Amino acid sequence: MRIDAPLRGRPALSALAELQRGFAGAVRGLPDAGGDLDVVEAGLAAARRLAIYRNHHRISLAAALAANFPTVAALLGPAFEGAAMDFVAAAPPAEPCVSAYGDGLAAFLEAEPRLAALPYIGDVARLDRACNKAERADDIPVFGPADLERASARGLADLRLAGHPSLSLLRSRYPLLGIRGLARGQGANVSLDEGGVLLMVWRNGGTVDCAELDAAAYRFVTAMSVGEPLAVAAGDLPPERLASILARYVLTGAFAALGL
Amino acid sequence: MAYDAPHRGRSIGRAGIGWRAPHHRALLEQRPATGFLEVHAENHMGGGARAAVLAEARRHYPISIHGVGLSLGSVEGVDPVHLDWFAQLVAQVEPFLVSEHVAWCRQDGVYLNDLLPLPYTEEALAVLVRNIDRVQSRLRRPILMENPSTYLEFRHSTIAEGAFLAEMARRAGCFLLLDVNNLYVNERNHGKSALDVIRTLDPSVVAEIHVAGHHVAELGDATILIDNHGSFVAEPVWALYAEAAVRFPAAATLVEWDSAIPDLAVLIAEAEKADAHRCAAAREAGLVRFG
Repeated sequence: MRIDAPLRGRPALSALAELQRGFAGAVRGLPDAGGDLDVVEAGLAAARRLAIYRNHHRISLAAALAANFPTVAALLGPAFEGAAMDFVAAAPPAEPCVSAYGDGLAAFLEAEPRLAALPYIGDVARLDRACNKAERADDIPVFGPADLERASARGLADLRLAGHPSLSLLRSRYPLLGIRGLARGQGANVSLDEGGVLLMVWRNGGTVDCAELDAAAYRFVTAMSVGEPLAVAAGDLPPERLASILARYVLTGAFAALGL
Repeated sequence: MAYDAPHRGRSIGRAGIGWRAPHHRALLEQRPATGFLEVHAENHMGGGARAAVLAEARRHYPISIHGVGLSLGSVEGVDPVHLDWFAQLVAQVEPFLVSEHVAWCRQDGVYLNDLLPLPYTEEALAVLVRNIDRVQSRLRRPILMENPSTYLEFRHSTIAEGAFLAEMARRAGCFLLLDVNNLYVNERNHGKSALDVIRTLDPSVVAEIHVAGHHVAELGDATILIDNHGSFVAEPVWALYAEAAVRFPAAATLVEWDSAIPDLAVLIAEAEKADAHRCAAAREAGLVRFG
C-alpha cells in the first residue's frame, strides 16, 4: 500500500500554519512561495502588497547590518546594500535582536566574487563583529586588581581564568587598524604591504577597546582565554613584561571574575 | 486568568516618548518633563553601555517595555529562549506596562523583522490567546496587545478588527494598546472605519494609546499609507486620538518616532501636543482631565 507523505507522522498543517509558511516564503523571496495567500486585492495586486513586506524585510535588515558593520559599510559605500541584501536572503536572522545580526557575514563577503579585489573585507567584518560583540556582551563581573591580589595569596602559577563574553582575539594578514582608519576618514593611504596585525577587542570600563598586541602578549592572552594556567600561558615572559601585560590586558575587563 | 489593571498602581498624566539611542544622553542630562519612556525590548538584549543608560533612565522616568519579537500570532508558539530573556528584562526594569503586537514575525526559526498581518479568524484568535496566556503566566502580569497597521487583508477573515481585538482581550485577560495611527492607516488602506474600532472597544480594556506619523506612498494608481513612525502625527490621526482619549480616559499615551528621529525638543513638543489634544477633547466632552 502506498502511504502519502502527510500520513507518515507529519500532521497536515492548519490553515494559519499554511498561510504563515507561504507568507514567510514570499517575504524572504523563496522560490515557489507566496502562491495563493487569499489576499484581497482591492485596487492593488496581491504581489504588490506582498512586495511592501518583502522590501521592508530586505531594507530594514540591510540597514541593521550597516549599523552592526560600520567599517564594512563605509568601505563598500553604495555596494554595501546589495551585498547585505544577498546575505539577508542567504542567512536571515535566527534571533529577534537585530543589533546582534550578522554572524557569518565575514565568510559570506570573503566568498563573494564581486569583492575579490578586497581580500581584507572578511577580516574587516570580523573586526566590526568583535566590536559589536564587545558592545552587547552580557554584564558579568570582571577579574580585577582585587581578584588578582586575592589569587596571589594562593599562588599565581595555577591561576586559570575565562575570557569575559566581550573578549575577541583576531589575527589578520592585513593592516586592519589602518584600513579602519581610512574608512573613518582618518589617514590618506594604507599599504597592504604593511603586513598583518594581532588584535584584542573587549569592553574596558564600559567602552569598547581595541588594542594591537605583539606576538608575546597575544600568545599569553590567548592561552589565558582558553583556561591555561598562568604559569603555562606566561612561558618565559620576564616578570616585568608579565606584570605590564596583566595590567593592560588582563585587569581591564577582558576576563571574568573567578568562580563564574 | 483574569488580571487587574496593568498600570501597577501608577497614573500617567503626560504623554510619553520612545527611548531611542540618539536621545539617551540628552534625556539623562536635560531630564525634560515627559510621562514615561517606552523601551523596545529587543534593542536591549545584553549588557554594556546600553544597559547602563537604561538603568539610569529608570531612576528618573517610568518605563514601559514594548516587545517586537515574541511573535504572538505564530502558530509555532512562543520561542522559550526569547521568552526567558524577555521575562528577565521585565524583572530587571520593573516597567509599569508591558506590551506586544497582534502580529507574527517568526517562521521556521527565522525572524523576519516585521510585524506581519494575521487573518481575523477563530484559528488566529485561538493562537493569540494561547501565546498571550503563555507570556502572561511567565511574567505573572497582564500585557497590552497593540493593533497592527497592515498593507493587505485576507479574504478568509471572518471577524471585524474591533470585535477581534475585544474578543482576544476578553479570552486572554489582556489589555489593549490602541495605536490610532495604525487605525487610520488601515482605514485608508482597506476602507474600514477607524471610529468603528474605537467605539467597539470597552473603555476598561484600553490601557495605552499610540500616536505616530506615517508615509503616503503612491504605487501606480493606488495610494498606500506606510506606518513608518518617521514624521509628525497627521491631523486626521490627531482627530482620532481626540476620540480615543475621551473614550479611554485612563489610558497612557505615547508618541512614537522611530525613523528620521528629530531633535529631542521636537519630540517633546509633539508629546505636549498630544497632551493639549487630550485636554481639549476632555473639556469638549465635559470630562475632567485625570492625572
